[in-house]
Amino acid sequence: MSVSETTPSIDHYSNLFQTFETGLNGGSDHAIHDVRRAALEALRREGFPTRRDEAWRHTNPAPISSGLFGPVDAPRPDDGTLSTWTVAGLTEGARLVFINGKFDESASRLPDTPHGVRIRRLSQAIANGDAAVASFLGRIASSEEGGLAALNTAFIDDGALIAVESGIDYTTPVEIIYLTTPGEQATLVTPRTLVVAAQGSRLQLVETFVSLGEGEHLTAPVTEISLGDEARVEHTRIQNDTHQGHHASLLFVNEAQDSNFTSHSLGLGGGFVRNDVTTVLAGERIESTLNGLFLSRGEEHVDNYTSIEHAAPGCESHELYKGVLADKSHGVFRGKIHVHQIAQQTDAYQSNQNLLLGDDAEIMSKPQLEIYADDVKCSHGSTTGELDEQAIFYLRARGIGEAAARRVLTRAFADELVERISHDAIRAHVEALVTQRLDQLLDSGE
Amino acid sequence: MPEPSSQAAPLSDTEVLEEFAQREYKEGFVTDVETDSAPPGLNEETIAFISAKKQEPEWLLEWRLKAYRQWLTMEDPTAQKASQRWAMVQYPEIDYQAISYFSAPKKALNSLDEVDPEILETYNKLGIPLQEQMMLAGVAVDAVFDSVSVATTFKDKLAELGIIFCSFTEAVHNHPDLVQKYLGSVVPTNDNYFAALNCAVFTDGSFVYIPPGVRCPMELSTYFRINAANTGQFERTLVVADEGAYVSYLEGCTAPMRDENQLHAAVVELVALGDAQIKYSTIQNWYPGNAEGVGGIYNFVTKRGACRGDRSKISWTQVETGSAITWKYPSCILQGDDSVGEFYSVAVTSGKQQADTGTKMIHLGKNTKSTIISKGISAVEGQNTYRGAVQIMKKATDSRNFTQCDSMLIGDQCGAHTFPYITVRNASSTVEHEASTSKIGEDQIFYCNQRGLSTEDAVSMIVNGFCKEVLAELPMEFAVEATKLLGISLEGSVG
Repeated sequence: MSVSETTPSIDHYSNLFQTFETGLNGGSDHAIHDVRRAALEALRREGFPTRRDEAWRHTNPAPISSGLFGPVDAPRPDDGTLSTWTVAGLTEGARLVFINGKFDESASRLPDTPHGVRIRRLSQAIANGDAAVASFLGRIASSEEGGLAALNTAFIDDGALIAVESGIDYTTPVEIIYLTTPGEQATLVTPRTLVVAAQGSRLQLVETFVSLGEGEHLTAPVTEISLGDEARVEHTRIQNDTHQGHHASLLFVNEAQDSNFTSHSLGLGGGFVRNDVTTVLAGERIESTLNGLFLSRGEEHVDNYTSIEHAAPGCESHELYKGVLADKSHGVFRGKIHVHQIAQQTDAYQSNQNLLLGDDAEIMSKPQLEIYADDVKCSHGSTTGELDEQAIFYLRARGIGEAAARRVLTRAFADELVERISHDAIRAHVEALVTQRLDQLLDSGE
Repeated sequence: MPEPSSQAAPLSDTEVLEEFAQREYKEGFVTDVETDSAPPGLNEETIAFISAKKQEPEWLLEWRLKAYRQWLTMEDPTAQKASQRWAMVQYPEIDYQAISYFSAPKKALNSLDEVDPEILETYNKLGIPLQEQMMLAGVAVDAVFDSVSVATTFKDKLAELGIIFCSFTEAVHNHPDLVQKYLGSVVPTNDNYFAALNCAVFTDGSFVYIPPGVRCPMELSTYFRINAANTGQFERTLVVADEGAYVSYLEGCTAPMRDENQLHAAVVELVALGDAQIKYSTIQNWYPGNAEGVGGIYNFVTKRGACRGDRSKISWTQVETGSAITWKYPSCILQGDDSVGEFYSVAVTSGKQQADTGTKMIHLGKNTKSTIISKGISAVEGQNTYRGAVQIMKKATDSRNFTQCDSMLIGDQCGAHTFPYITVRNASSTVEHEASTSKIGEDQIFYCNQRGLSTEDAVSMIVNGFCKEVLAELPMEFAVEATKLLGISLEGSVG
């Protein structure tokens, strides 16, 4: 890393941090402020990633590492815009809406929850000294994980805390929506979500990250999820950014024995998008599933980075990421499965499939297996190509026009992932978004 | 009736593994030949010394010096910081000033009769008697002892067809136009750290030119040996197949036992013009180091072929069982339309061996095809990495790649890693990659034992079956050697 390359932005964030610190009004006495300070130190020490880092070889981080982004207040978008991104079928559960990182009370809904379920604003949880904050915040996503984790942590202000105590089966989905509406100057938004599912609990949640309007921005969210023994969490993540938008997210998951985690990542595109998912399988007999669907068009660049760490024996992981790329968009998939020596009887499967809709579209696929144990079943596959001409022919022979045939087959390609969402209302919501975006992708290709 | 071997108390897994780990390197011996070496150290004078010693033309010295100056500006891979390192190999920093860059057998040799009897003896120990090969196998051998070719056979027969097969030094003197035209045209001087070093200090190697329309009637073969202590080997191979020509080239290596690590940074360039085919097979069995991993060869090689013409084909086959560290990616640049690239590899790492090997298939021409079959076997504490790039460029429409990488693990201290890099830049091409990892199951061994096969035979059978697709690509005589080598390498290793 060349320090001089990144110094202006690091200095910029150091200055921003001072302003932020002053504005905390006594909040800087809180223990969490030490975490923020340590994060800023880590950022100053390690800097942002550069293209020379293996993890960033196929996505040049310069647009986010050299940009000078800062906080901007924003007006509330109209209800029509908001309703596109809320799950229509969810009328009762909690919904937390944040605009440029600030909580929007009128758009949010915080109903009473059963005993043992805490759904709150992160700022309140910090102020009230919530035990989950002290035990987990910044512990699953360490600031040592790199410049982006450090940047988010240094500016932890608000976000969501969802904590479910042991044995509680909370099936009402929790909805968290982070909207970014950039202002005149390049806008920085660093939302933070902390999810703690204690032993034997169950939780279903949807996180949505959307940017609207014109203007440059960097949305750099971090979500931390901790699963206790036998906990089950299903997490759906929807991301959609503007062509001028930069989105660099981190999802960190730590799992204890016998737990079950499923992630559905829906990437609807954006000018510069990087979505990281890192899971650590720290106990025995865990089942972990990472599903991903990314759709891109125009000149978008979309990078998906996943890491599954098998650190204990007898766990299973399944991963399926699919990409549909139109126009001149670029997609990247990099997935790593790391099987530690102790992790015998691991069963891991990883698959990446990509469909290129345009001759100017590009994909870089890098599935990786790093295996240090012998009694394992690990495999991966990656395929890239266009729609099967025979399948198109089959449909055309039955009187379906070529354009319609392509539409059907492209939808079917994406549907495999949509179908994996277990909750009906969330699935219907995702399906509508995917259908609409695929239609746009196919129309622009014709 | 069961075999006598299975009546004896069967060895436990641990015993078998230990026996395997303690296996001595069977090709380890040192031939004592006086060498005319350059003093250790690397600077422009060393390069001038090598060039003068070989009576090279001015342009070649300039080319070497250009490469050296580029090398000076490049970063030693060991000096990179952790997040930027991509290779899964670890070794202490190499002191390039401690290496002697030139060593040649003292006597000038014109015919086989003049070959030092000691050298001949070395070859006999290795089981490659030159005379016998001349008579029986019909293989022309350009034997490299340390850095200078000592004997070449069948030259006359090949010359009749217009085929040039000689040492690199001879080629520089007798065919300077061809050498100047193609040298560095596939692997540029600044390609990578070790290739640049090779360009600056290479001492000798082989040169092959097959004229248009000629099918080389025999397998061309070179045996490399590393001998003088403290001498890095910097070989240079250039194979050019002109329009419609065909050649099959074999390269095999063994090396004597040694206590100090030896760097080997060879460069191999292949050029196939229109409708030409080159088949390049390697068996590599250099000294892997002792049980503690001390003293093995560092095999950092750059191998690349260019399918320049339409419908040309380059096929790489490698069986890698030796070296402390193997770091090489025999690659194909598919420039011509309808050209074909193939890579078949078996890599075995045992003891403390490390291998980071694979290929690059760069599709530039339309309708180009590539196939990659890689079999990695890790035992004891071996670390085996497949790293392969497949790039389908924008103009390479209707191209196709199929990749299959299988890893086998024997023992719970070893590692098997798969890192494909797949880039597709047009919509009409299809790329498929699949990889799997497995071990030799106790149930499989048990099944074989039950049917009267000893554990060793069972392992050998399973491993040979695992590698069959690759071994089948080797020329006959090489396939026999490779099967034997696999047997020896995995003697008694059971998972």
